[in-house]
Amino acid sequence: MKTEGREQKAESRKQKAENSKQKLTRSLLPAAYCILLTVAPAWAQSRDWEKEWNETLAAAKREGKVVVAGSPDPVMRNEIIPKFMSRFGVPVEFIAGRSSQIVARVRTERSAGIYSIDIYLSGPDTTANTLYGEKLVDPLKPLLILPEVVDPAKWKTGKPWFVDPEESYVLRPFRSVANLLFINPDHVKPEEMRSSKDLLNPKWKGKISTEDPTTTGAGANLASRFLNQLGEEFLKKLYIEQKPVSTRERRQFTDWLARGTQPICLNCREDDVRPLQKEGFKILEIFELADVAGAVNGSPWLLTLANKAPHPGAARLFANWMMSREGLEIYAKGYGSATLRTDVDESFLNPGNIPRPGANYFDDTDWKWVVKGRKETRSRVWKILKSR
Amino acid sequence: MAQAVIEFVEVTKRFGPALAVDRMSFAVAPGEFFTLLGPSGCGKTTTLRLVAGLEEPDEGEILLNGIPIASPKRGIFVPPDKRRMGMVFQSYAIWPHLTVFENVAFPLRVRREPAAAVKERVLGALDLVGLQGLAERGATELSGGQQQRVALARALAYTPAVLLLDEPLSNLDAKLREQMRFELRSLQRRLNLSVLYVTHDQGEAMAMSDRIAVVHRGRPEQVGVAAELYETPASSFVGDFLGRTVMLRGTVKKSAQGSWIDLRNAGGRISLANNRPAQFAEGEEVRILSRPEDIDLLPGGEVGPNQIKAKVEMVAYLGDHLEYSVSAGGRSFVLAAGKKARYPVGAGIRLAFDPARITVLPL
Amino acid sequence: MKMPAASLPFPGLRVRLRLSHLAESFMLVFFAVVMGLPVLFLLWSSLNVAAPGKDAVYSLANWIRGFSDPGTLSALWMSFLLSVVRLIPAMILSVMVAWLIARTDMPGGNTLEFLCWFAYFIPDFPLVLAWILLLDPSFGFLNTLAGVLPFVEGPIFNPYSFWGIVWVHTSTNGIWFKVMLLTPVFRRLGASLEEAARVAGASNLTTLRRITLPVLAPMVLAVAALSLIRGLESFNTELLLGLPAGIYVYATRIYDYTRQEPPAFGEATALGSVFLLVLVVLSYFYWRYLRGKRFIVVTGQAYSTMRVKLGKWRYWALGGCLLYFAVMMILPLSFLLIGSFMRRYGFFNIASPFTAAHWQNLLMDPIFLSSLKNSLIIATATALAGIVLYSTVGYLVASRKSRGAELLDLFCWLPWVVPGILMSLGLLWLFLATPLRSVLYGSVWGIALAMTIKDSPVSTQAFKAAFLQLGPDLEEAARVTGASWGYTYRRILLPLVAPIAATVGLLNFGSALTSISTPVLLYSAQSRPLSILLMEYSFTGELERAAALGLLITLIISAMVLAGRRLGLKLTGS
Repeated sequence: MKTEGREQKAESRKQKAENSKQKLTRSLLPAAYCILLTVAPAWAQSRDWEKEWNETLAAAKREGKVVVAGSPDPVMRNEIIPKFMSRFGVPVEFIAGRSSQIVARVRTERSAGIYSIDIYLSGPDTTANTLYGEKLVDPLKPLLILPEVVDPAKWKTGKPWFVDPEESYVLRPFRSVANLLFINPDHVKPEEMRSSKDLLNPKWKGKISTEDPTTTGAGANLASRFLNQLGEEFLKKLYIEQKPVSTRERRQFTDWLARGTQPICLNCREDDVRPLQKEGFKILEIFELADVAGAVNGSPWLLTLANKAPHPGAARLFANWMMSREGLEIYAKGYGSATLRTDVDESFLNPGNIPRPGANYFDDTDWKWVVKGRKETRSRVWKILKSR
Repeated sequence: MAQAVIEFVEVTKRFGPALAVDRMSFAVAPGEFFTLLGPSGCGKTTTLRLVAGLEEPDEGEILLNGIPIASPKRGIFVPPDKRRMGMVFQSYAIWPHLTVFENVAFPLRVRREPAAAVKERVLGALDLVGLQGLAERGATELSGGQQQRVALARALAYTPAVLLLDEPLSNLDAKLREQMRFELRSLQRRLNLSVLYVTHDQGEAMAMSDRIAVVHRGRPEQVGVAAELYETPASSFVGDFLGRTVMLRGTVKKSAQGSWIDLRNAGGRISLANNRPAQFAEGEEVRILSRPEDIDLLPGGEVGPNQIKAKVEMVAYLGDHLEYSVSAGGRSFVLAAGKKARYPVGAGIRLAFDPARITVLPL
Repeated sequence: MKMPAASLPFPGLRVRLRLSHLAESFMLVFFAVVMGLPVLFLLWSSLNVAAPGKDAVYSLANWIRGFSDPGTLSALWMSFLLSVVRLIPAMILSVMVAWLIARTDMPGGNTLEFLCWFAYFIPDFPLVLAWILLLDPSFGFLNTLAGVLPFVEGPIFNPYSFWGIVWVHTSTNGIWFKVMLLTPVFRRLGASLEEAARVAGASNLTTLRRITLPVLAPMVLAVAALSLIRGLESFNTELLLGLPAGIYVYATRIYDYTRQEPPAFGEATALGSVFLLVLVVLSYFYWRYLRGKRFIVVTGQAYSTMRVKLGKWRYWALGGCLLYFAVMMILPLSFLLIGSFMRRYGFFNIASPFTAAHWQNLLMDPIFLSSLKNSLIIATATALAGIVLYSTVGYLVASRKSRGAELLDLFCWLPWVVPGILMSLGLLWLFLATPLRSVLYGSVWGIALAMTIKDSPVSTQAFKAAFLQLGPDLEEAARVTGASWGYTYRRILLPLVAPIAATVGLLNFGSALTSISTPVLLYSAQSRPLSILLMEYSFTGELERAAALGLLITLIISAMVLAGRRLGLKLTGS
């Protein structure tokens, strides 16, 4: 309730400011222009953005909606869509599907000359290899105009972080420490899980669960990381000799973790474990081991702008707002992910998720790793695991 | 003859290589009860289906009231629903999902008759076939005889150009069959219907028909009224099919006194007074056919004209008459005789033929 | 040699165009387009190895990659093994149950049939989880129960095994589907055939085996073939139960290719082509078996559906059926129902484990109502279109009046032979390539059309079998009385196959409600169906809410089944 009140006040204040500015422009117009341009470039810029912003807003309203595609996403459905609607009066249509389904749909649409999507919110693999790789996206950077978005001071990275080689297409607003694994302390004491060697303890034979590492997904990604950091011997010992139980269904290994049948879970997801913890299950997250550095990633998504977007104004409006404090904070709260903005309230995050300044992390969403390194490592993993 | 209702002109129908109907020609006059009689597989049902439009002829022409309804060479084929036929199937084809009333009303509903007229005519048709009061029954709750009547009522509910009946009585028991024969015939007379009737039962055919076509191997062997067919069959097939025959072989002899057939083996001769002797040459081998009831049994003795010798082989007592199995001319056949004169087994007797009632056929 | 028009007593009949021929040509073209083209498109794209958007480069690389994977062949073998092992007992059981329901005086038959419908549409994912809760070696309810017995040591059930998969499959989709399709045909069988066999000295079972089954062969074989293909393509249960035990099936491999990043549809199509091969082999045997035989069980004569009297055995039979239903359906279903009211599905030992929150959340979901509305429109349209379209196809195929009919039959198998997501992709491509795309793409009608097409195998086969069993005289009698082919079809043939039509309509209705893989490629915000909501819940791990939604969908379908059956009975006049 409180926040809403604050927002309303902020809104009315903004409205007033806009009104007075408009009056000002009208009365002082020609002379003021020259003075402003020469004397106060920053001020002029802000005037420019406002004009552009108003145009964008008008265009968005004319276009009537913005179409966003992404994985099924309760935060989007329950919070972003209503908030965006109330803020700008522009509805968001969210097309949800597995990324492979979205890709199939978009490719076919495009081959028929249909362009229905404005914004993609998708994982690093799809974004880098398909959306960017198949040139389905437009440069987004020039379209960012909201001062709080372009202001370098608002970003931990010193600027909005475009991770593609051109630094213009793929915007990454999250950098959050990911869990390495989860343990059920009723069965595994925290001190029994200090380094990678502890995973190979014969005691845990058959007690480790993993997402199926022989297909694309989190299971294979983690295995690739192990191969990269700890070598082939470790990979074989962990994935073959330790007889980990594998599944594709995240609900399954989460339940195993909670029941203790497989008290060590390599690929459990935080958003699955958190409700368990709320129900009183004692589950511990482990972010790093002595010899395995922690990892950060860009989940839940990277943002890209579709080329030939059918609603360009609305897309621009949505992208700008999504990157604003308001937009990202909703996701940070909903997913428990640390954003790259400096002004987002992080008090509700698990401290372990916030990267420690100066610490060395393995970046799982790193562009080169996603485009090349991981793919290669992953095929090595598959070769090793299938040769058993 | 007035304009035929149905006329077949050299109609041929093949199923693959098999010839079902072979250059069939016949005509049905208005108000006539015309029967196609023949053993199963002779093509009579196919002929009926050709009339109904359920099969398409390969050659020839079928005319309805003088107008072609199927003519491959002219590219004409009128589908069954446009032919105004009424048909009773051997299986009756009563629709199990409809009531008796709806079954009968179907042809009228197809023609979008007003509801009142439908009701009147359906009840009328049910009345006609003696099914009053069963209108609301489910069609599958009826007995076989009742189903047959429903099928008939359905075919009569509107005024069909021709009523087609495909062995409609074959599924009924003997008593019911006889009763239905009579009813059908009187119905046909009363309504002056043109009927094309298919059956393999010669009794049925003869009892009901104005004219009969005996069909053999896809062709009508003989067309005529029952007596003509029975008494002067055009072939031994026709003769056999219509009843029992006695057949003997002989040689045609001609002289100034006239023509006769010499039955050497049986030791007798039969004159050919009115049997178109011109058709046969002197010395030609022929068969003579006679109905058993046209042959009289006489005590043994010298054979007179139109008599042959025979021997009694077996006697059966059947209450009102006797049946003799006799041999003559190297053949055996069964003859009936009254009880006045009795011949024991082994007795030599004479058989007297009626020259007016025999058929002579080339061998 | 044309006659002058004036002398023609039957105007408009010079041209020998008949509706049934017209319908056949139309259907052939229609299905060649909607089923043949997507498959051709898939095959053709699988040969194109260039990156999307680039100029096409053709090679067999995708095929070679797909089949050279060492796991592929062993997975294929495992798939066949699993399918056949579950098919045989399931077929025997379903024939028995269908026979008991339709041909005997066993009490409660209608209720059992209804339960089959109910069971068929319960979403299988939560049901598999229910079996895990029951059978898991470490916490399974039944294992714990059995552990109390003195002579039992250690867990006796293990769902993560070959036999575990077979067992759970028998529960999730074992006999329900088969009984649903078989019962109406059994019901249509004239009693005289069976009575004749009984009089000739055959026992009830011998009669079933020697007379009833062979006479009903078209449907029994079709159901077996449909089940085999479905079995080969199933992978959900195999993923949940097989993977922990290291059992991989063929369909999983195809599924893997389709969900890779980026998706490898080429390899998936290559592997999927094996199903095409299976189809060709199956239809060859089907055709050979049925060739030259007649299967008319409904004629216009002496039609009676007297039932076999079982005497005191009928209570034993009912008991057996009830036991089977209790174990295979009620048991897991009650777990599922309880699960939808649990804070966390299957966790009984947490504080206050029960809650109605999932149902509340579901019904309060802002898009629930609009999704429900869209789903009902799609499902109804699919059901009606399915009946109209496939009864015609079934008739044409059964009447075997031309070569085209056999081709049509084959076409109608394609949507099941091609793995779900691939067929949906092909359909998407087709929709977008037609001038109708503005109507079809993104609208409920497009989804309904796609769903209608996707259900073609079961619809066609069911109708075909039904028509094969109708005597031709029923149709001919109507034609002779003056009914056009269309009228005859509507008033005589369709009502006679009404039980099957109701079954097909309801099946289509149900699968249109539950299918995910097709709508996910075609929906837009305006046409979002309930199943997309179901997918979102499952995807984001909201299992309890997904269970609630699944149950709700099942309830909707059950209500339709009850209504549909009443209508079907009315149509048949029984």
